[in-house]
Amino acid sequence: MCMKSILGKNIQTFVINMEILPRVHLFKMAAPMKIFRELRRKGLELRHVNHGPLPITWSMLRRPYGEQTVRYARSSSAAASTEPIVQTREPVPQPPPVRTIFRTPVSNPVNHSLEQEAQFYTIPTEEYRTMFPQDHGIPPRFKKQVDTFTEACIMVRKPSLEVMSYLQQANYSHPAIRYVFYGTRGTGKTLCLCHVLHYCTKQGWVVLFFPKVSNWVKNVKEIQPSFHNPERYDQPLEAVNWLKTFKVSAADSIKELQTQQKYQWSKRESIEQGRPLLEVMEQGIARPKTATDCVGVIIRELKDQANQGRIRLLVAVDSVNSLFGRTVVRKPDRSMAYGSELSLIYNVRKLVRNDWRGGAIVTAVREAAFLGIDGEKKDHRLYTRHEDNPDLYHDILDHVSARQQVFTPEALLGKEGFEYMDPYVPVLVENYTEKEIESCLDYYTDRMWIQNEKCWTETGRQQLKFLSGYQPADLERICGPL
Amino acid sequence: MAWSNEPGHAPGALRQKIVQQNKPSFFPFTQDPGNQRGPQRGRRRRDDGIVNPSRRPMVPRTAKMAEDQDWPSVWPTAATFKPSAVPLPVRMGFPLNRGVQPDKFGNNELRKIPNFLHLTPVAVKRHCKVLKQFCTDWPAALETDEACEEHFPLEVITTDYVLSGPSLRHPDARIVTLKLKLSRLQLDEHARKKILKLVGDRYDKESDILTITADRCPHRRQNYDYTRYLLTVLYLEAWKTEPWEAGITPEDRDEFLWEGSPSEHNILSTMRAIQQADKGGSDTPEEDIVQNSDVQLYKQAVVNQKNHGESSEHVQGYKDSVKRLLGLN
Repeated sequence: MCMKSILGKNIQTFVINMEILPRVHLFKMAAPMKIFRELRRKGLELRHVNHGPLPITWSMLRRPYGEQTVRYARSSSAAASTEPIVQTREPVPQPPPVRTIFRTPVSNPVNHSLEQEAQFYTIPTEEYRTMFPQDHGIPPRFKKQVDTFTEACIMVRKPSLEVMSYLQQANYSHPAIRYVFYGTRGTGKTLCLCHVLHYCTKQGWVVLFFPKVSNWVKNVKEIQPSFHNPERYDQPLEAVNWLKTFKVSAADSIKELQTQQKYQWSKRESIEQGRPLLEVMEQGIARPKTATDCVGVIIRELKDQANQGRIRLLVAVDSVNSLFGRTVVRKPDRSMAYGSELSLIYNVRKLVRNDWRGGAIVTAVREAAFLGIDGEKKDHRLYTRHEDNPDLYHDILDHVSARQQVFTPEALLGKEGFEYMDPYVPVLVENYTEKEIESCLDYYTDRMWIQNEKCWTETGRQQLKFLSGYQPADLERICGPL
Repeated sequence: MAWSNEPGHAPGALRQKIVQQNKPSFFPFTQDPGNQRGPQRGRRRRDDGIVNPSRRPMVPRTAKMAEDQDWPSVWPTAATFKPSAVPLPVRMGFPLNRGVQPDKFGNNELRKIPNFLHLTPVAVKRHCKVLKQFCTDWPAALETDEACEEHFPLEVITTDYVLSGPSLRHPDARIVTLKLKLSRLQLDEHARKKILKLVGDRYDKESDILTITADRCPHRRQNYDYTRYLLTVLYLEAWKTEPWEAGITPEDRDEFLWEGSPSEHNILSTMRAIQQADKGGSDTPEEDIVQNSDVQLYKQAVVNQKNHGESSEHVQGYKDSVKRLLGLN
């Protein structure tokens, strides 16, 4: 299937060869929409699109694999079952030699510099498992990639290098500095955050990672009134989950730390002064009722210890803007809870203040976490998407409509958030540059993620660049079925 | 032949008495039978045509006019349209029976409307020439528009109406509009903001012009006085500071004010903490911190970002200022 048209005066023929997107109809609705949108931006109308002699239809796709004209290498097992004569098929083509150095052997982010820019580095599996136990906090599609490639590779990009250089030169007797990653949807803010996280872990910092705080505000399972403050509400499930992951990721760095005061959980349960912090964690995991308070205690203890200079503390908060403003949590009296009324959010908010020293606060803002400004009536669906499974509504919104994306930090933080976070260092995460996208395509080719030979050619690569618009997330999605 | 576009006889007049056309006439003009308002019915009427060809009306004056005649002396004053005196093939009115528009002879529509046949450029020039002896010179200091604005900041706009009617008064002649550049008033920051709140949409932000219109009184003079009164009152009220104005909140303001904002509070506490870490103790008064050049830069960046939106250069400016403040590069 191909689309042809003639553009304007200087006659260029513009061809999108759909053979590189053979399963485009299996793909999300958004993909063809996106193609049409890009075409329209180029000045082409839909009626100019000339569907070639053999459009791919559902019926074609449902035919047995052996009869199909397009062969998918990844479905070779299915093909082999229907078509046992393997000898007639041509041998599996080998990918061409890659043209750029896309991979760096330096796996320690402390040694990363501009030399490694736009190259992929591998997080050692052990470190990956400890840093992200149960894969929490990394983008879901990246998680799938990690499972498929059986390695966790992150591109060394300018924004994370920038923040790492700031972390190197910052004076840690001064109040903690806040860094805010911002950028349009799907540019890799969270992965930059993960890179910085790895950097700090390697340097022996204690890392408090709060992935997707928006889930605590938007996808709330259950709440219960707080034990010691009836104004606030605990989220025991979320707190236990977080404690479990924190126990794995920070087990090494906090094993010597001890509590500095006595904490009374209830009439009978308490933790004496001078007990190891790990005990607090275990207490929280064992007794979900107190888990939220345990999180608060850990935050408070770590903040104190960092203040006294015993540890370096990194606070990493993804989608920090959901700490401020309203939530979708209903209180027992049917009114909506405000962010600071949830104890977890309340405690994390205390960390984001810069009234402590001996650490850094690295955050990311994102639009999907934005619940709208309080008192402002908006299309609620815009802001309440489930981030892991964006639905058709949002796909169409993102790809077809010319909706202005809000991505700047102040707009997303809102008035309250800005007053709380200011002064912060905004760090822009942008789409891929030419060098980065070349490197990324090389990486996908090398991993045999892109198996279609046509994508290995220069034309195919250019089409992929064009279709994705240099956006990392879109490139990953488009390369999925190839 | 200035008016020769009239045909020999109007089309469609079937029952009309036929005038001999072939007979050579002394005058080359054949008389128009008049406006054909449709086929004749019933009794013969006056407009139906000429019964007796010997009773021809007089040839119109226009036929005898010279091409280079002095038109202002033909039509010296305002007068009702007179077809025989106007050498123009004008037509007016609604065409009936699929015909053409009625011509100027016996045309009531043309008589109804006012005409400006007495106001030809030549006539106007002559008028001005005569009137010039009564005029004074234009002031030398007011050569340019800017000079006029400089010396006469107040612009009063009224409209005079000339009409022929039972009354010379036109109801709209009473309306007075007063225009003024707000920058010409002596206002401080508070007074300016207050007067802007008071006048509402009467102020144009682009041109900085305040417009006050009055039409509530029956006479122009009264309306004029009223606009002057309004201006005075606005000015005096703007300068007053009422006790309830102390309760103004940041939400009431149109633009972001850094002084007294949480942002200032944040920066003060941060700078204090930094100084404390560097020197051990800090007794620097607030003013010194605020007057610091880095803090001033930061303030400007925050104000820009808040008031002009977060464009990329404003975010960049904010980032640079924060980096300077925190000692990063």
